[in-house]
Amino acid sequence: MIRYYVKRALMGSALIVGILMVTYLLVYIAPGDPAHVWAGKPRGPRATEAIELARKELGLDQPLHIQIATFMARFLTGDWGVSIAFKQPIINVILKSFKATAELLLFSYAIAIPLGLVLGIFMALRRGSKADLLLKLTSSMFISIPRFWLALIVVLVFYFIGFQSLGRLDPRYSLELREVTGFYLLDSLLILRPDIFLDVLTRLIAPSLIIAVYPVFSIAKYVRYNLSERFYEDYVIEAVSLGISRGSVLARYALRGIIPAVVQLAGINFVYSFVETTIVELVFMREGVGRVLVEGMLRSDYPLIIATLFIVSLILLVVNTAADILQKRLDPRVTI
Amino acid sequence: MSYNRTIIKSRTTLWRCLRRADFKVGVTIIVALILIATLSSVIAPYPDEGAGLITEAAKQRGPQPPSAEHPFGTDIVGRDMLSRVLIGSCYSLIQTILVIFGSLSIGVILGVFAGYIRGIVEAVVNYAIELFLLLPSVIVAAALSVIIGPGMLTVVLSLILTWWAWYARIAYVQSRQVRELDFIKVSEALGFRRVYIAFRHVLPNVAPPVVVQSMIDTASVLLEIATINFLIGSVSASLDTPDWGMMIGYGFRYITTYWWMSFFPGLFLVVTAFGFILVGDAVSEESSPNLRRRWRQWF
Repeated sequence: MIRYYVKRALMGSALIVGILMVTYLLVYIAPGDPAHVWAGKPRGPRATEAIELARKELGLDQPLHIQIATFMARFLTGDWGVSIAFKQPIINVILKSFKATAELLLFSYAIAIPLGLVLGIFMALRRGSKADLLLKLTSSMFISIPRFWLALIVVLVFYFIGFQSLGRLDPRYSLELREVTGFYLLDSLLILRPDIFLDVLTRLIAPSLIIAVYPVFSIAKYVRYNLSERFYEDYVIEAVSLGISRGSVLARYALRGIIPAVVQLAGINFVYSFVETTIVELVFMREGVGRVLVEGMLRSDYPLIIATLFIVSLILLVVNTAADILQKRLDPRVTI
Repeated sequence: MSYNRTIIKSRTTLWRCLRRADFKVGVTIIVALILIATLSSVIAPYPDEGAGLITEAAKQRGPQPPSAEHPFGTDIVGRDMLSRVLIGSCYSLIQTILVIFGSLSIGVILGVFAGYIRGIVEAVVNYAIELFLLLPSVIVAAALSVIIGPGMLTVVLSLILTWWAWYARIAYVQSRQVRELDFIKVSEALGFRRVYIAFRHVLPNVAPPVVVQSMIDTASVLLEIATINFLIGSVSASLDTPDWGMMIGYGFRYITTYWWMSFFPGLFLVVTAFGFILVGDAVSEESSPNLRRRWRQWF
């Protein structure tokens, strides 16, 4: 077990170095001149001079391996520079926006995992029936609706019925809410303001349900196939023949076998949902990673985008590793 | 021997698929879309406006809600939305095809090399697979669009960069099994070069499951392309490219007044994705014996 942890840790740090290298290469080797963009796409007689200056400022006149080494050293010591778009240190922008995104994403998964499990168990118990077929068609239909478009339609409908759902918080509360943790749901409870809590919650529900669509149906589909296969395993048949009630056979025997794999599946879905969340929160005009991306794209602020890319990849790495380890802890048969 | 068996197996899979209603519906949708895409410049009522030109007539028209003359309305500069959506089908199809083929070819070749040639290649490719699976495509696209500019190249490149790893992983696992088969051992004993064996004997046996997988996730590729285009569309100052995702993103800022600018491209996107999902589900169920068998519930 210890050896496994050490192995994962080594692989993880190798991947972190790799991510840094790829993000650097991606932006600096791609066609197009970053110095040209950094200098503000100058034109006129002194343009070349400005570009040369920008090149020196970015360190692009150095050999490639030195560029990468300085980039990594700066990144790992937390010196990420200043964002052009937000006029703040990048690390502050990222911390604030990631908390907003994390709040939405975690809330969404708190709904999605139980719902997906229940739906999957329901379908598995009725596999092959009309209800199962109907649910399968519904899930195909929901998965084929792009979530950003669904979000747009929901925003439109809310606009016409006059329901306030945009943003993270009603503007009139924004001065009253003191930021303790940065997660508004928690903050509003900590300062004992149930009215703010309710406001934050109502704005959170619609986007998080839209984000939950993909994990719910993906988990339900997985549980349906694998749980219904379990019913033919010898240990389940034996348990039933011993006279144990159906409910506890399901909970203690059949379901037990698939939980570890569901954990891993949720980890993989999390990766996909993270990207979806950035877009959905953009449509709901919430602050978060999506807004950081858009501002970065509008102002050609690629130090900010690189930092976002790095942090998101890092989070995905941590979540995947945690899901793998959790799966191993839950299921002693897994050997990696 | 194994080569022939795979071919026969995939043929019967196709036959079984053809008997399913959902597969037929999906194929009909896809064929209809391909027809629309090839004939779009003929059937579109205003082909010039559809391709992005702001004509004089369009300038005078301005944004209009859906009517008999313009069933999908007109966009912010007066271009006919129906024409733009119809011509947009080309863009979606071309991008999806480019991404699938690009990532398939990179993934299969690297996966086969890693699984068959082994040694240092195996370690490097496996590391690269782990690494590229972590990169979120939308954020890679955001970074690329700042450097290369927000075009089709950015979208396709950023998706290939993140999708090839899935296919490489499947090809790798598959070719590890294939390399233990007898005819591979015989070819090695006969003294053929390893690269030759990899391409001539291992690759044809590895390709079918990867191709099936690519059919299963065509819909995801289509939606991911649309997501990236949505992001690009929502930051662009003006929009000429009639891409569905970009049109939705561009119309997003006018959603409360000119809702039809985002609604109709999205509708086409949903129907297309649904077609691909129906086909993908049918193929995935028919190609794996566990899912195929007739279910009898006893529990």
